[in-house]
Amino acid sequence: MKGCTLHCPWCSNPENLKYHKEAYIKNGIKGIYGTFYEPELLVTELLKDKAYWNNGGGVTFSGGEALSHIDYLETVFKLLKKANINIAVETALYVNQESVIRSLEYIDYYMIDLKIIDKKKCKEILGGDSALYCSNLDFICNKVIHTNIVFRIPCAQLYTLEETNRRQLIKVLSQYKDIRIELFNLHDLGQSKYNSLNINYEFLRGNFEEETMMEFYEYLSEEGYNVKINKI
Amino acid sequence: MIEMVRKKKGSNDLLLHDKKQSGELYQWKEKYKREYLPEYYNISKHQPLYKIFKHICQNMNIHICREERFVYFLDYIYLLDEVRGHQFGNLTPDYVSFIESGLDGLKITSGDSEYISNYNDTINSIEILINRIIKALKNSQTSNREKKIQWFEGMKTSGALHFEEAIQRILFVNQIIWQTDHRLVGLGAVDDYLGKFYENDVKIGYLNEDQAENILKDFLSSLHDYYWLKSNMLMGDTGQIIVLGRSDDNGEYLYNKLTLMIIRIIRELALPDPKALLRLNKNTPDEVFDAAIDCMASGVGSPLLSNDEAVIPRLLEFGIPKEDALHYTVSACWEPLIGGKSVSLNNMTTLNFMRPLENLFKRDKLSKIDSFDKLLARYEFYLEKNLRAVKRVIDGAIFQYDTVMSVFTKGCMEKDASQGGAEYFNAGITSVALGNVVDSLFNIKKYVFEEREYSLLDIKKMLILDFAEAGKLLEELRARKKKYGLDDEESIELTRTIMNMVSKYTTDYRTPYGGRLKFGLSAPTYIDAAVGSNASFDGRKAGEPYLVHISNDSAASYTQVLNFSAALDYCENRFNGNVVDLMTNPSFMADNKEKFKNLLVGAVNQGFFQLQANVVSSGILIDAMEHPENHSGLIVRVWGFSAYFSDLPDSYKKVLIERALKNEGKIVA
Repeated sequence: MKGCTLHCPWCSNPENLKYHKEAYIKNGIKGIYGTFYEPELLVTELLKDKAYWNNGGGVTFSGGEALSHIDYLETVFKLLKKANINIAVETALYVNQESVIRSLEYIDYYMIDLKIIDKKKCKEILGGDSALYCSNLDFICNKVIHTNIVFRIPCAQLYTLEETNRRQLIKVLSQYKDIRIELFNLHDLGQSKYNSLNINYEFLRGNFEEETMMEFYEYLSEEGYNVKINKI
Repeated sequence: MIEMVRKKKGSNDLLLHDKKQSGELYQWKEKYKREYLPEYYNISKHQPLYKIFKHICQNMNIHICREERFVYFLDYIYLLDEVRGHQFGNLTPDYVSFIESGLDGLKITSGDSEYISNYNDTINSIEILINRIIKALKNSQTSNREKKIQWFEGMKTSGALHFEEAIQRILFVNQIIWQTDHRLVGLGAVDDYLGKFYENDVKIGYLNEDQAENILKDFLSSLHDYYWLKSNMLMGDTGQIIVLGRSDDNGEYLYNKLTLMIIRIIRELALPDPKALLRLNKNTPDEVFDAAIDCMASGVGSPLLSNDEAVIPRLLEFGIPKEDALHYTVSACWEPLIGGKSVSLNNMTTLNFMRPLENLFKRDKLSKIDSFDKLLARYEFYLEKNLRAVKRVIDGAIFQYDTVMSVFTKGCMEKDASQGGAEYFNAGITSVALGNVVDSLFNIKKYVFEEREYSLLDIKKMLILDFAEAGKLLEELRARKKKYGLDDEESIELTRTIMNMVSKYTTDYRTPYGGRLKFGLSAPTYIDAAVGSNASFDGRKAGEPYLVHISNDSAASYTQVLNFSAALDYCENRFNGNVVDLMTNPSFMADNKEKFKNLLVGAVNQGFFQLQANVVSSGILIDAMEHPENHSGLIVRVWGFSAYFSDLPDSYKKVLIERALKNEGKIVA
């Protein structure tokens, strides 16, 4: 879904930050990021892949921030549920709690980002309200079976894995020790998209070190967390 | 040179292959024959083939290796390449009858025709060869000498008793077929016909699983011998395909320990040849999928996958009896074939779908074509003419009188295979450029008939001038999302329409021998067929290669292209190989094996026809092109076969690199 409530410096989907259509130029060719689908048409398109959703597969909504589109998505969710389709959402949970509440009825699997916990830094760096995030996180973890949640932590050297934030992440994680964690490396696969939007993207340099991610992974493993590394 | 051509394995494969392809080797051989083998030279020029074959059996060099488990050899000097008519090739001979009954069981014991006399003479020649091998074995220091002698003695009169012995018989038939210059020789359903030997041997304690695995490894290694000689146009194109797994009458999936072993061995040996085709159905169990994906992820290019849910109904509709349809094998790459019973030539010629469109632009009064429907009608008009040319090629094919093929094809008891003796004698054609035509037609529809930005005459000029004066249009065409391969109704409908057109003009056609014609959506000539071609309105410049199979180069997702493939109609005669070619990079597949399994399970249910995975990374390919010495073992999928990347001509390497870059999003698709 196009449109996000945050602006993470490491974002690899810059085309999904704004809520409106955007013009781009890639390899000298002009194009537009963003297409509007009526909910029924979207569902028709999605259901073309139904045959492949055995073993718990289904549709994953991401973005941007998928839950910031709850008014639109609720219609889509209803249609998918009518067709018996599993629904997952990738979310940073920086949305009003009502959106989270409304999603509960439909979402089978939550992939929740953990990023910056400190209130001031979260506001400065991501543009988000970490208190709102923690409240939403707490709400979801009390309402949803923990096997249907996974935490995802982008390993940004100077931000998410910075020492203070790392301690704060651990404090949050310690409340939900039975929830799986995925750490993932930063990458530059979004570089061409930044270029197409004429946005300077220098973030990656110095902001990812495999060693630091491995240290964090080893620490979490030793503390008994169910953690894996998702290499992109 | 003589030592080089007689060596089984060696580092001179590419050199010898180049010399073979250029004709240099043939000229050297003819000169050698004239000088040192004058009797053979004269016989080969003036005698019928079954007599030349006798001479070959009497005189060819017998090569017994000290250390090898099996006896398997070819002699290039005595290759039966005196061609008098269209040769049979791209087939699977009848291994089973020879395994089960030996030479005696293949003799024709009643009837009195010249053909029967020639046929039995051929069998006698084979016996001569067997006796010479036995003599050579007796004089050799080869390992397990007595066992090998017993094997060859047994071949004359009775069936094989054991697993290892049965495999020796496969290799013996195989070498005879290659020696008589039948190209692209398949192995058929090896797990099926060897299964009972394996089970029996294990049951009586004669063999265990580890031993069987080692035997199979040696079997596959032997098949890889004489790689340069067996390779056709390109290195790797040997046609040595092993078909694994199958469906029974109730739709249950049949496989055995050999199925999984062979897949595992192919992965471990990491050779481009021989290769495997794995048949699948809705009931294929997880362990078979797991083994297949592990093998595919290794990059070895095998197995390719054939969906019985889509293929078998098409064979039945075509008129093939159920028992045969259930036991289908394939030609060299993937064209369905009834192995052991068929001399159908599945690659007789190639239909170039672009040619009718080129004809239209060249010959038609373009101003009179004022609608897309009229354009399609005129395309059909020229397509029909091109199909007439295809039929002329097939009508004009005179087949070589071939008692060797007849001996190893069931059913040739009264007539030679070349005279229609075999049970199946159909004709198959491949095709190129359908994707390019579909995309060109959609672009013409948009720019000429919908937006009226250009006329057909404008398009014609652009194509003749290779887009030289087209301004930004070429970039636009290249950047436009390609329609072919997308699972939207329009793309599927137009592709089906064109396929319908082909069937309309070919389904009632009969070859001079009463066979039918079938076609498929792929060909190995996607580069060669485009050489000298004009530009096309999908953004392809003059001479650039056509699209390869049904692939996801068009930036379509895997599910889109699989859905597209499943939605096409393969009825009537449209089943001569229709392959989805998935490009993926090694780490992606290795890290997502479970998801790939789900994808394949879903795809079987959706109804794709056939599929192969090209597991490559652009980075590795680019480095391999610049530093081949660092990547001597790198295997890629070329068309229906795998090859060492370093053995390929630069034109093929560039196509693969470009496809990998498109797949990785590093260049615009």
